[in-house]
Amino acid sequence: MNHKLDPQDSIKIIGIGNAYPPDNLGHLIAHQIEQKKLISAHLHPQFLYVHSPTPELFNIIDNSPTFYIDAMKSGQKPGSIHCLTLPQILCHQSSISSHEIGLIHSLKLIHSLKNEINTMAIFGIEVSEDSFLDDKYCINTANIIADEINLRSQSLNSRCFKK
Amino acid sequence: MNDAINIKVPILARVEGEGALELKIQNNSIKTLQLRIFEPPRLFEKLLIGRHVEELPDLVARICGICPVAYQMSAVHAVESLANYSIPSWLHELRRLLYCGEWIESHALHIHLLAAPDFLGFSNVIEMAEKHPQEVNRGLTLQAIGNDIIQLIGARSVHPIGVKIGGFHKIPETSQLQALLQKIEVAIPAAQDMLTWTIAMQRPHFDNKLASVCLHHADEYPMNRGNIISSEGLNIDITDYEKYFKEFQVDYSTALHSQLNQHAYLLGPLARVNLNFQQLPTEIHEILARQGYTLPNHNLFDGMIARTIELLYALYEAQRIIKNNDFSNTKTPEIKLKSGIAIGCTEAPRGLLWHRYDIDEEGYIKYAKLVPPTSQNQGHIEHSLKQSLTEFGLDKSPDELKQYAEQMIRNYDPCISCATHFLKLKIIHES
Repeated sequence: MNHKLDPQDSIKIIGIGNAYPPDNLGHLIAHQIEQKKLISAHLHPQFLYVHSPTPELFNIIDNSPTFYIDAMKSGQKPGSIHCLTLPQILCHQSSISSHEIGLIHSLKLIHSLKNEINTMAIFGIEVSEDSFLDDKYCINTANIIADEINLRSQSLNSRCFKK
Repeated sequence: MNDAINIKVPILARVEGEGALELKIQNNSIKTLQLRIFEPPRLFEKLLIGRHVEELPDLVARICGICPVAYQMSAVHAVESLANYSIPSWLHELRRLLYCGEWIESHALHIHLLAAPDFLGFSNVIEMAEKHPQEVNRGLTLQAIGNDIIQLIGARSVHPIGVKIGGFHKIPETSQLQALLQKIEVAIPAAQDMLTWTIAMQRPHFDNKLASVCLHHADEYPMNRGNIISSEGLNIDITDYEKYFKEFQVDYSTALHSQLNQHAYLLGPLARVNLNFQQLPTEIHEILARQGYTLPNHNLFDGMIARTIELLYALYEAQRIIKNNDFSNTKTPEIKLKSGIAIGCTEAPRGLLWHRYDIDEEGYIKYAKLVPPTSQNQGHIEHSLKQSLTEFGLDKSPDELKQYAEQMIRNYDPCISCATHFLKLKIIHES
């Protein structure tokens, strides 16, 4: 089933994290994209910022095409940008603990509870405790992710990630 | 049959933090059982030295993402006790409301996302959600209400920043509290159903006869104040804690163990409901009576029921506080700080959280000691595992032993990051 973005529809861009570096990077990048209006206006982007993914996302996710931006640790070079699609999220294997219910766990759980949600992609920005990602990096990364969101949103007619 | 078995749980799942369990079985008896906490020491106490007490509420809130309010409450009560600050009733009530938020959030998370899959036979909540979507939905809804309370009063749901010595930086608007009240009133019937649901669950049985310890106050269910009491008759002021409770190091854990009268002891919801049953409201007594559930109950696998009782209690209490108080004309007074030894102790979701700060004339911290509940519970966890695994049957398969051990440990809802301030299981059968 294809999802068509009607003129009155909007896409959601959700920055995830807390107020402290490096976990705040998801918020910083989403904020850059919002402030610099990097998303095509016809997509009516709605920007949201959440701290603890599971309960907050559970309440705000609907069937709008949604992109997530979050800090991530996978051992790769700090500053690398990962892009995970829904099939990759649903295939992810990991245990859950109270501090380790991250965005991927939350989305897997919410997908199992809600039928009508439309996860387009997670953009994960690789961070480490001892690296500093400066303003220039944030601006460049915001531009790269915004281009990707614009591109992926244009193909909404042909791409569908609904459960 | 080889009569020597080593079982290792290399990483404990569905607990907070990183730890492991190593079990050596020889001739069908446990030779060694070690709960290994290998998460690196986080040196919180050292980080606080040299900082001004006014920074304390924000600094200690960073220690834990699940129980930041507990850290803030123990810290502010410690500093205020030195100043002989008489806490106004509105502040006592608002702090209690904030604490209710943390109990609701933490208990809802543990019951639905971490513990219930054990009792219902699922490996995790994502599997459980396929078969029990309504229950998982309920858990997430309740958790969100806890977060909403913390967000409103603490200014952020994670690592809140609204608390200050003497009061709050900002008092919520009456309209905001009324909106919160509506959500709480919708949630109360859901939490009542949850209590019936947890009581009806099939669960193993294991009684541990060691002492239970918690706060007790004549006027209320314990959160922010009271004496430290035990099931063995201890009743002391919080300032006497170090005279009775002794911390010590074991070589396999980065978290200090703790003993009372040279024995391990139990903290947390089960200890609290057993020792403070009379402080619970009539509504909860009636629900428990209708279900035929009696307290005290020492089955450690009933920890989830104790958490459910407390979650429902926290909703009733939040409802009462919002209905009975007008916070609109309150103001946080200036407090004249004093030097000396400051001691605070409150009930974190997982149990007693005791703080001591030595403060100089300028208000700077010269020494800090924080004793979190999970480190205090380590000895009790090991004691319960030794006895209950033997009762369960050491000839069971490694997978069965691992599952049972993990379920037992999860009953305690351990917060290892606080304790180091958790589980990989290693079982060794030796000939």
